[in-house]
Amino acid sequence: MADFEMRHISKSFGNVHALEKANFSANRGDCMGLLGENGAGKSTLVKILCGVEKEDEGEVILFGKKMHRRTPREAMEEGVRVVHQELSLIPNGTVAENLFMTDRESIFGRKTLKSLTEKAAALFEKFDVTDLDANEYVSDIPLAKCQKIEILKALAFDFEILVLDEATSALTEKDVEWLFGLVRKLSKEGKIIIFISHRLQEINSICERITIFRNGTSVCEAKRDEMDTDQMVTLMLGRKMAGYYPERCDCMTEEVLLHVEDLRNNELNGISFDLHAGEILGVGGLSGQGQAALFEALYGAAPVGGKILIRGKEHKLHDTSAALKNGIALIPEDRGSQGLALPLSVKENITLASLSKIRKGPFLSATKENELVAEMIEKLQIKTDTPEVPVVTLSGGNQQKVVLAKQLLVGPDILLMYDITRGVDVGTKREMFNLMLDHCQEGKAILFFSTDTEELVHMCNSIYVMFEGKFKERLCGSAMTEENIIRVSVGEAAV
Amino acid sequence: MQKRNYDRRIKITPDGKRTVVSFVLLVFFLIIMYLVQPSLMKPSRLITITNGQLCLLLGGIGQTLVLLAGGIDLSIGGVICLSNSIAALYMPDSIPGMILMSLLIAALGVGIGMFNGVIITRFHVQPFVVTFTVNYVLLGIALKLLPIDGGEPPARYVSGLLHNFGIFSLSMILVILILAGWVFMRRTRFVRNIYAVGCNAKASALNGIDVSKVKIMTFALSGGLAALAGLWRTAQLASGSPDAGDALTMPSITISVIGGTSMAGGMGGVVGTVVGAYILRLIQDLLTFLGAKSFWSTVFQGVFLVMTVGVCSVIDMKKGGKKNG
Repeated sequence: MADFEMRHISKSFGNVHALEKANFSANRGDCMGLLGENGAGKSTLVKILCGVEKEDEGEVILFGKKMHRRTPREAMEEGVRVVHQELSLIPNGTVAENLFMTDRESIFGRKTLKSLTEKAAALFEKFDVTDLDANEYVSDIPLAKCQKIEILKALAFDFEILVLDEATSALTEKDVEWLFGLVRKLSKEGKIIIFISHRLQEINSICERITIFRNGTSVCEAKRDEMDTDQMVTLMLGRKMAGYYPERCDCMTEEVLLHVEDLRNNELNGISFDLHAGEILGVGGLSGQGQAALFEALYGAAPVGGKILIRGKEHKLHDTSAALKNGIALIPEDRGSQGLALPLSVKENITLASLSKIRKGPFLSATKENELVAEMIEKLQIKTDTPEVPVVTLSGGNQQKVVLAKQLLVGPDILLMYDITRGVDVGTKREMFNLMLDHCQEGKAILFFSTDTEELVHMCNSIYVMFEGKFKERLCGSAMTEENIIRVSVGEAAV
Repeated sequence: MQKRNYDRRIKITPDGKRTVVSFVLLVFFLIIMYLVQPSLMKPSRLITITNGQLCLLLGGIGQTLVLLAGGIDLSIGGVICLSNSIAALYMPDSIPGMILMSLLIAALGVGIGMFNGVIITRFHVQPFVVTFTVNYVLLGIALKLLPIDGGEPPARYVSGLLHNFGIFSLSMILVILILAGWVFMRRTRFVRNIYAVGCNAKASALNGIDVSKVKIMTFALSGGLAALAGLWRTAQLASGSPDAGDALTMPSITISVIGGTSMAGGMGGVVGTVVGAYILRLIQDLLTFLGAKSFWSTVFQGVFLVMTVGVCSVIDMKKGGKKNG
């Protein structure tokens, strides 16, 4: 039996199975690489390990002892330390205060600031850190250093397992080297390191073993030098069932609906492209590479530098109503927080963005509204008892259809679809794909981001893969494969 | 193709259920009132109560609109005091003069509300803080204008507003007009947007709704209605007071909440607030007739408020609003 095991872990969020009978194991001294596409279940596994989420089924065994009913604090006391993908520092605290935040004694104020500073200095010396000042406030520190503090925070206490979840994404090259040196040292000391990264190079240079996750379960555990990059990519993708994608239509024309030139803000790094009438243009890449920022910028929800031309005319999209007026509509990522007013009725949500269409004098025409709503419910096959029920009572797929109905009712020329199929069942997906094609056949266009590479390959005319705020590569024709999307996403070249 | 089969029966929306709760409470208290003091259940009593509550009711409606859009207005009391003081001091004794003066005061209230709204949305300050501090400024100005209770509004102004038409008083007609007006308002884009903003400001902004404008408008309406409340109060008391109206801010929230409006925004409505105003008065009257000391009145109001909020929250939970919580 391995020193650390997670056995048959299952976890669902509503209808979405994040993990299904996943296994994971590691021994003392291992640096285990954890690989997988977006949504493969890596982060959920980590959250279960550190007690943030509770598994539905399965068990976690550390050194032969079963860990159950864990809270995050208990997990820490058992020796699990996690450096999360998202930063969790308190901006108006000093570096020292943040480092020892999880220390119970410092919470209750029995430690003075001075003793904390001394402890921090000792920690810096132990781990060979010279570029941090324990008394500086976190709000004054640049992001790259914050990630370093986050790592040190995990190192500040004794631990058996250290999880680094995309911990290198914001680090400078020098600090990555520092971290790798540290990881090697720690694994020599017999600690268990779990290393999650979307950069295959990093995995290759540091991990001795790797575990690959796909669709919520572990598909392979192997020594790293037994595998090459191609094999890893193939395993990450797997062979999925195809067949529910509609026939691709060839309705793309030469007419440019949207021309974008050199979009820049703090997340976008110079993006230019053309979107043609009848085209579905795919945007791929791992999450957090600036896709959200791009969609927000095009929808006028975030400030951006550069040029946006709609049908050849330049527009400054200062707010979302300007975008809607010019025929751009967004289906956002999170329907709950960005798409819908959940307590309001299905009807009120569908007409939310197009109330001007149903106006009759100063009032809204109830007849006109009911007609339009009934039409959309019919067209999208939204399953609801009446249009009067609160949208929150609908299933996830139907809620997403309400969002779609709302944006289609505006009658946009350009639809921005941001990961619209996430958490949606297969049947609904198929209906959505058909709607997308209908939309394009009317001479309109879609910019389509999906974390599911398979969807991109089957639905799009061509695909741009985003990496660090840029369009890294444009894939079209025979180069448009899942393998290539993944390759470019993880910083390799397409073949 | 699957046949579309939604049911055409009228179902009560969650918003409706909240209002139903307040109606049930109203009936409950009316029955108790009847048992305790049957002699008070007559039309003239309704006139007295409506005249007495109209000031609070107008302020409460403004509060409801602000709450629906996800804000809070703590300057209602201040606007009432200022409007009351100005009206008591300067109301002229001619009909065109009275109308003009009333319009000016109402416009002043709208202006104050807009100021609140602009500061809140422009500089991203908490509504609580802005309106709370503006309230002090208004109370100060009122005190400067009218250092002690007094002032004498023209007798024609007082008798005009308190005029009765048979079993109806002007105040009752106003209440009916308000309710009817709300039914129509509910069908405008503006009010739809208020609910949307209160439910989810981010989604509203992403759907092209000008969230700041909607919020500013609710504060402006609240200010205007509070100014009208002050005008009514002037007639009702036939005098001015620079500070007494300040005690109406909290009750304006109370009646909104009793009426089913959510402090979190997006749920509730004006009908409930009107009912809430009557319920509050019934509770106060009941306790008086039962000979309770005045502190019991506030204790009971508090307990009652907590219960109402609890019931509304249970309704919300039942419809599944708290899925992942």
